[in-house]
Amino acid sequence: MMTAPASQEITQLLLAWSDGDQAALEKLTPLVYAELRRLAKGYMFGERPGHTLQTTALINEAYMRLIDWKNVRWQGRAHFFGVAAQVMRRILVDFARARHYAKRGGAAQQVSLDEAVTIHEDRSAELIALDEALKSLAEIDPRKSQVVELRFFGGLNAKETAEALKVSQRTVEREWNSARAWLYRELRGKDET
Amino acid sequence: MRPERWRQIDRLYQAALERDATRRGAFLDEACAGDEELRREVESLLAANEKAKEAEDFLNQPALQVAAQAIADDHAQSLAPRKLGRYRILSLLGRGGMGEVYLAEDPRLGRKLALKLLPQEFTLDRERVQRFKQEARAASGLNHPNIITIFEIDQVQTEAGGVHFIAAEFIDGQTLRQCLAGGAMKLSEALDVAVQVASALAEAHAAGIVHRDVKPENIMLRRDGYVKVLDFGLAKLTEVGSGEWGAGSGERTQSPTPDSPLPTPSLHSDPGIMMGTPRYMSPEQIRGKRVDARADIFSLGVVLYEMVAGQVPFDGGAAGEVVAAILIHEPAPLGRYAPDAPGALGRIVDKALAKDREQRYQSAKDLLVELKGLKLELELADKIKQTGQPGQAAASIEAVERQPMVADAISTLLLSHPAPATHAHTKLEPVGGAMPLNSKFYIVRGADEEFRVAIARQDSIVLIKGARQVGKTSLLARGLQQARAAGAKVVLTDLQKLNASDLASAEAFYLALADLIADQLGLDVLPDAVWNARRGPSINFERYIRREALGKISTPLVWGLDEVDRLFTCSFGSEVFGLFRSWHNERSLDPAGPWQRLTMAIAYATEAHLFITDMNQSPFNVGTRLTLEDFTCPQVADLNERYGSPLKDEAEVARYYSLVSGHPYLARCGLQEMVVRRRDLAELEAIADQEDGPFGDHLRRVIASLEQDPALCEVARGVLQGQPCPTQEIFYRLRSAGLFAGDSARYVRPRCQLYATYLEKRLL
Repeated sequence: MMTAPASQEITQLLLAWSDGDQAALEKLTPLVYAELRRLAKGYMFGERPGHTLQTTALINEAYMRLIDWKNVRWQGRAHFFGVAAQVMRRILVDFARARHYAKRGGAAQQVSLDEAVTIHEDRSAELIALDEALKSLAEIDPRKSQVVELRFFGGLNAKETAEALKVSQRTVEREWNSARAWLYRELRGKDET
Repeated sequence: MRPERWRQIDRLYQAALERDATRRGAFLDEACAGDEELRREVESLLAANEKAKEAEDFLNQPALQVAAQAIADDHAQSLAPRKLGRYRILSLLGRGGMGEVYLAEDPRLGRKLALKLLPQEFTLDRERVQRFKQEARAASGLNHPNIITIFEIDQVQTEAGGVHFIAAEFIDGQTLRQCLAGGAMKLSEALDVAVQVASALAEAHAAGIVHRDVKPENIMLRRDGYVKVLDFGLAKLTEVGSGEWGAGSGERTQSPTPDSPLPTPSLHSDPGIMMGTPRYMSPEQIRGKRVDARADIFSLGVVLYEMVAGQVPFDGGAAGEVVAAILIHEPAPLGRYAPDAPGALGRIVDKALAKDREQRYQSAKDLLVELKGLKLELELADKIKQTGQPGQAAASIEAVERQPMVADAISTLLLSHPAPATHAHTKLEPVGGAMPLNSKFYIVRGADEEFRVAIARQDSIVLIKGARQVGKTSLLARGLQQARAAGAKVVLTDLQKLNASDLASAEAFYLALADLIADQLGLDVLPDAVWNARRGPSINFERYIRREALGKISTPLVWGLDEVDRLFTCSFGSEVFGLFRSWHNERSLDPAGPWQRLTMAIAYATEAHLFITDMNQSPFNVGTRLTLEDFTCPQVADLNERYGSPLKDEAEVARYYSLVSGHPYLARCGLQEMVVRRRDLAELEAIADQEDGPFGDHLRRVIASLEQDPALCEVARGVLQGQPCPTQEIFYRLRSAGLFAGDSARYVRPRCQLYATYLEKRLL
């Protein structure tokens, strides 16, 4: 098996959480964090936004170690995708909140960097804002919100998303296009107009 | 917002997206039918969609990656106050295409510099690092103003392990990516950046170095206008070698261990979210083929397109679209996004973006030559626009000074040198020599249109002949400019530039000519390299033009030859004309041959006809002849206005017209004299035939050429006294020389009143 030994366990935990076991989330969190740190190490000395072949491999591997969806064989595969994406969303947004608070509290003592660093946007803040915007989107258009959750938080591609939602890939692309535009307008459009 | 309302908006938005961008307005007009708020909503979504597609950091990476990068950010910032080797790190400048970049200080030299830390994942393989170092050092050693200067490439130990870094010149400015965040750039700025990048690439390619990763992130615009290309050789670190996986390697799935396959290709080839887009990669890079300089040309083509259009040529939101677009689809014409972009720019971009690298520019130098030419042309067009404002002429005329004649002003204008220092709106121009392309004193005549038509028809030979100072060079220059604007390659060889030694033998002449052409076209293979002593010089020359000039370019080539009368007195002159004629003939024999794409525009002064006693020696009996007519009286009136009307009324114009007739040089010369010396017409008439007067130089030359042949002088005396020419042939000679006018030997007269009075004074 490619996936880490914890993979089976993660699958069980995900299912347990979807059955209402809140404690499962607490057990899942450190596993996700471990993957995050492993990934982050890959970026320590720089990431390459343009050249993402290697980066993509790292990310895919990380998802597969966490959520071994390729090996999910039970009937509720689609359901499982959804659960996994929801859990990732919870954990990652919580992580972002924790980091954001920590930064706000401790940033004053941080070395003062010149304004060039502002290029360097605060990724955590945007994750939190995105989570909020997705909630608003869910109120008027739940399926679009789900598409974003599956793709962005769950790391699925368009085909897998289509499978999870039992719609055509074309529909997923259309929903994604709408949702992305809507979210962009919510999150970044305001300061531009 | 209510869900129903949102569904309505979304439906329209989707429908609009499926329509061509240019039709969306009309579609929404109808679909929204007065519901302005609905329309606003849809339009703002469409705009947000465009921006979201552009924004690399918006939903383009999975959340897990975003969070992991946030952790990496923390780490990077904590590194900031520390030292790296002997460098003191001052601050994080940002994230470059590959690795983080810090502003640092070298305490020994007290200078600031940029430190780029390379990601460990790419520096584990020593051999690769070595290759990268070699290449980066080689590129740095080029010492080109558009290539970033590298001070040092080294490795230091940190607690996180060994870190490779590059110490380089600190560039105070922003990346082209940041610059493009505001949308498309101004055409002139985009061209300026492209020229500088092409210049850097040409230099690197000449040294055998391919960049491999030309993109806006790797191009920096310094505050002072210099453009710097970064990261030469860096792509060496990430090249896919054997046994590694990658979209380009052909074998798509490789397994680090047998039962733990990396994700299947389907995962990678979905650029929507899993993969950043290889939007600047050439088809051969995507296919994993060996890469050469032409890959950089493709990438620069993408960058140029993006600068002008505000979006990349190959794009797509859905799976594999970018890759498919690069491999298969033709990009939307540039004009769709940038309606003001000239057609020539579209053609340059198309050629750079050819899928088949054989169809692209074969060197960055070729591309550079075209870009520079276009840039110059746009600058000239701009100047004409600025100076073409009516009413400026009169006001500006006070500040006049005589300037020395600029003999090859036109070649300077045409041959990609920086913009000419002619400020037509503040100064008069010297009369004589070539008129600048943006001259406000240029009067368009019938020959201009004939020339344009001949070039459009791709005639093989166009002859521009006329007496001295009737505007041959100025006409030639304008025709060539139009040819270039229509997408042709253009070369101008001014035989005046040749030294006497170049005219000593056919061998020397052909070589000198080939050198001039090679230089202007930026040809890779120089004449010396292929000249073969066993072959005759004309064969060598023909082979060179056919193979290295016509063979290496796919567009029509328009070759202007000026001052060709220099050849009339050479022993091999007729041989040269014979060669040109043979190309003309071969053209009609082989419609698919290389000569089809060659148009020669040959300008020569017919004054030499005075001495060609055998008219059959006339150099050309083939080709399209353009005759430069004298100005008509209305054209002189027009010219008078352009000079701020020193001739006060129609009667004065008529009097002046009878003095100089429509002689283009004399007409300008006299008007300029009136303006500069503030003379009125009567004063001008009084000094017109004096040798120290405004027309003196010209008149002295007329008499000097005539006096070379005593027999002709005798005929001229007779004509001045009202006698006909003794023979028709002598009449033609006198007329081609521009001394006399008329319809036949019987009805012959001096070309203008000025000539008549001057010649009478000298000859009778």
